[in-house]
Amino acid sequence: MRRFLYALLGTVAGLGGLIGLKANLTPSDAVAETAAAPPAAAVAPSTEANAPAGDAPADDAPAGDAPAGTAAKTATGKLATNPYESFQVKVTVSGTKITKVEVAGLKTKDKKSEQIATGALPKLQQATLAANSADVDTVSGATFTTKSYRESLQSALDQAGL
Amino acid sequence: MTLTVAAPASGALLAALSPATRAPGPGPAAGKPARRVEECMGTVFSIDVRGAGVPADVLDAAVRRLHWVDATFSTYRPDSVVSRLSRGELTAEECPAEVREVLGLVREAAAASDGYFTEAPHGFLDPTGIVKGWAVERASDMLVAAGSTSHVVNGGGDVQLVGESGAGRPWRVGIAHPLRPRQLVAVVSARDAAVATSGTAERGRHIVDPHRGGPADGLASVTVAGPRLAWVDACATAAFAMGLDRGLAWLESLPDVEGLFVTPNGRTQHTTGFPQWGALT
Repeated sequence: MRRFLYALLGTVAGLGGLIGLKANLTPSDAVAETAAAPPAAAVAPSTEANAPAGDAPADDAPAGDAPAGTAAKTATGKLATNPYESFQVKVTVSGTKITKVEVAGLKTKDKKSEQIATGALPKLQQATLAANSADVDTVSGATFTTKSYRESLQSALDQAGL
Repeated sequence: MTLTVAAPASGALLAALSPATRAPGPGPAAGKPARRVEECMGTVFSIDVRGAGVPADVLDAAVRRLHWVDATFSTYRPDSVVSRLSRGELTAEECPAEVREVLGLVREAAAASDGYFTEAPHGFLDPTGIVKGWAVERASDMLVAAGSTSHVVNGGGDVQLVGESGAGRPWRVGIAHPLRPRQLVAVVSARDAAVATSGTAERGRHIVDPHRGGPADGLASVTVAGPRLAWVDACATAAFAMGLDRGLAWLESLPDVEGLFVTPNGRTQHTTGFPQWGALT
């Protein structure tokens, strides 16, 4: 379980580089990206009350001793920063299954970075969830481009080292 | 769904979290599990070595080999061996043995597929339909020669699997859903096998039906599983060009491969033996 959380947090920490790349897209690209993003209710950046900004990083605390089948627990990752934004990742685990990936305390450099981040984060969060829940080692599909790789399931797997 | 994680080693996971603090590894000759991601041939290759692993210099050599294949076979580079061969500036005998090997595979695939796999899909010599799979297969062979018994080499979505992912656990290959980004249409579980997918999801209608002379557009994707990737990759390309009915019948007629077809409206069909390899999600 603990290794699993590390892996997931590693994945989402790796988002920083992706978002940095996305900040270089043209505005029209950014709009298209946002429009193409899936419904993001479970993965939208969150500033909800139970994840205050001062929440201590707890990536080794609550879930490491959680036996399978117990109630949902959450773990919050370290602050991830890049030139465009900073955020923390909060993972909700129920038994051995990740049920939710949230981004807490998203702070962006400017309005454009915020738009790009809110469009891009859910896509890789969704990929992380999908790759983990399907429990796959690798992905076969039509040959992706170097650009589309960065939003792919395979990219999520490679970044997590799963 | 029960979630299990086949982690290569906790060290690798920690390294993913904090690469800067990663402890120096053992000497260059020692094998270890490793993961390498490399841009090549206009896509991204991922190498994931588990078990006892291989020395880092073997991974380096495998990656160099991929770039050599790209430089030799690229139809985008006017100075590549294949471009010069295509223009008649070289004879096949003057080419490296690897070029003759690939051209031999191309002709085999063309003969076996009634010409649906062709060496000149766009009117000029273009073995691209088989080169990537062949290159992945050869990179995988290099790792095997260096002692690896457990790895996957993924070239832009075409996969060669060696051994299993962990003790008693086959590799699990997610098959990308061609119509729903980042979702899977199936999962293939296999040991010592290859999986390739041809489709329109990433690069549009780029596969030609040589008998019609236009883009093949009757399918969203074809996934083929079998023993070796060069052949499996060629089968996926040819079956895609054939379309659903002919492609399905053709794959059924081949002894060592199975296939999964997804139509443009999301319907799936597969060869009778496919369920032995994988399950739809």
